[in-house]
Amino acid sequence: MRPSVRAHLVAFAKSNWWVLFYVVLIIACVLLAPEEEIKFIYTEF
Amino acid sequence: MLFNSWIYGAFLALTLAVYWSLPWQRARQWLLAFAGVLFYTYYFPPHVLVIGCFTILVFAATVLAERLTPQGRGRALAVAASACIGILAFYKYQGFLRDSALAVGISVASAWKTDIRAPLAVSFFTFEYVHYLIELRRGTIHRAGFADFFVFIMFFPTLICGPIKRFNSFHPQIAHVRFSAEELSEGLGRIVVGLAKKIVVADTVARWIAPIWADPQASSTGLLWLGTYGYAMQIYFDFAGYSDIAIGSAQLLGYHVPENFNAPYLKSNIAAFWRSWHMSLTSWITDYVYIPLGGSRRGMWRGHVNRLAAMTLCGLWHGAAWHFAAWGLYHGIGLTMYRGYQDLRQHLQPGWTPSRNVLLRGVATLATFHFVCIGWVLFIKDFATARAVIARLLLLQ
Repeated sequence: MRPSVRAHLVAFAKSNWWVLFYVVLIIACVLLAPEEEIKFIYTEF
Repeated sequence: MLFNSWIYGAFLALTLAVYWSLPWQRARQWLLAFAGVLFYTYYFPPHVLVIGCFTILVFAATVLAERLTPQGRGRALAVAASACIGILAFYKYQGFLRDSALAVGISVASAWKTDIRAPLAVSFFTFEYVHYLIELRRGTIHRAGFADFFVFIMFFPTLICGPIKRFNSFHPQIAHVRFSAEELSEGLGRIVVGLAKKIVVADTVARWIAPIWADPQASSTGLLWLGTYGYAMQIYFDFAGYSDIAIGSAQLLGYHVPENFNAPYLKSNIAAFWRSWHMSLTSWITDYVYIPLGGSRRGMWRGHVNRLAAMTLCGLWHGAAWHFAAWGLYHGIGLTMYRGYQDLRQHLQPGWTPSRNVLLRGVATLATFHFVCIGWVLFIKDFATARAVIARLLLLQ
């Protein structure tokens, strides 16, 4: 990877890390979501 | 319509699209009420009539009370608040009361029919009715119009599991809702974090520990500790995740609702734990149970009794079973012991404050966390099983 492209990517990640973190969370949610929905514990109360 | 389902995502997106495209505040308010009705209807349609009728009755009681003399008004609002507790008792505790009566030999109780299905979230919306009625009686709020009261109760982000709202902080927001891209972004972020807490952490841990809690007697002591730590994580991330989604959804609609958690497992004493665990319930119990009983103003022993009573009721609020009462009492004993320790230290050393030493605080935090973890066993299992599991956890068996 060319140094200028790499520098751009690092700068982008640094200034948008919060958004990237959310993207990772969303992907993790989609991948880990159980086939059958698990109820929230407090909805039983 | 669970918060972690696609249908809720679609419902929220559609509601938001229509909500923010409406030019009038009043229209948005009615849309919010309609969305609340739809949201509630999705679970079990007949129960929307129950919550609707109770909301109308509570509102009617406040209108009637307003026409009475100040003394009569106070009495009428107190009767209405008691009736709301009666509604909760009728739906949630009649089976428990029947079984308890039968257990102590009151055979007439067998004639009670207890197969009535409790309306969803009855524990939450009745607490909001009671708060509203008591604050009206105290004169800290003014009676709202029907539309405002209906939106307060039927506000769908908090309708099923809270956070339990306060009318004095919710009501002023109704007329001043404004679209803000910043709020929208924050709200979406909060929902994503909440979903991650639920799906990535809570549900994953739930699947790991399910076999342990399915048959705790068959598990080794080490596995039981793992199951206990796991449940502590599951319940925190499950409910904190739910609260994040509720708070985030409210923010998307331009509303701010109370926070429910503030890093409870990182607190160094049990009183601080309860100030940061399910905060909207803790403050409700404090304001409407503990303080009216006299709080700690009527002497040391009365303060301890009030604390134990309030926490036992807090336990019973979570479920109509003795192990929930035992869980509440267990925390009441913890709070009483901590208060006793504080009083003793202050008596021996006037002006004493908890140590700021990092190591001591770390040890206190670990001890508090383990006290809470052992309490969760009482929360999960029936009393006899919980007692056997706790004995094994503490190497007493």
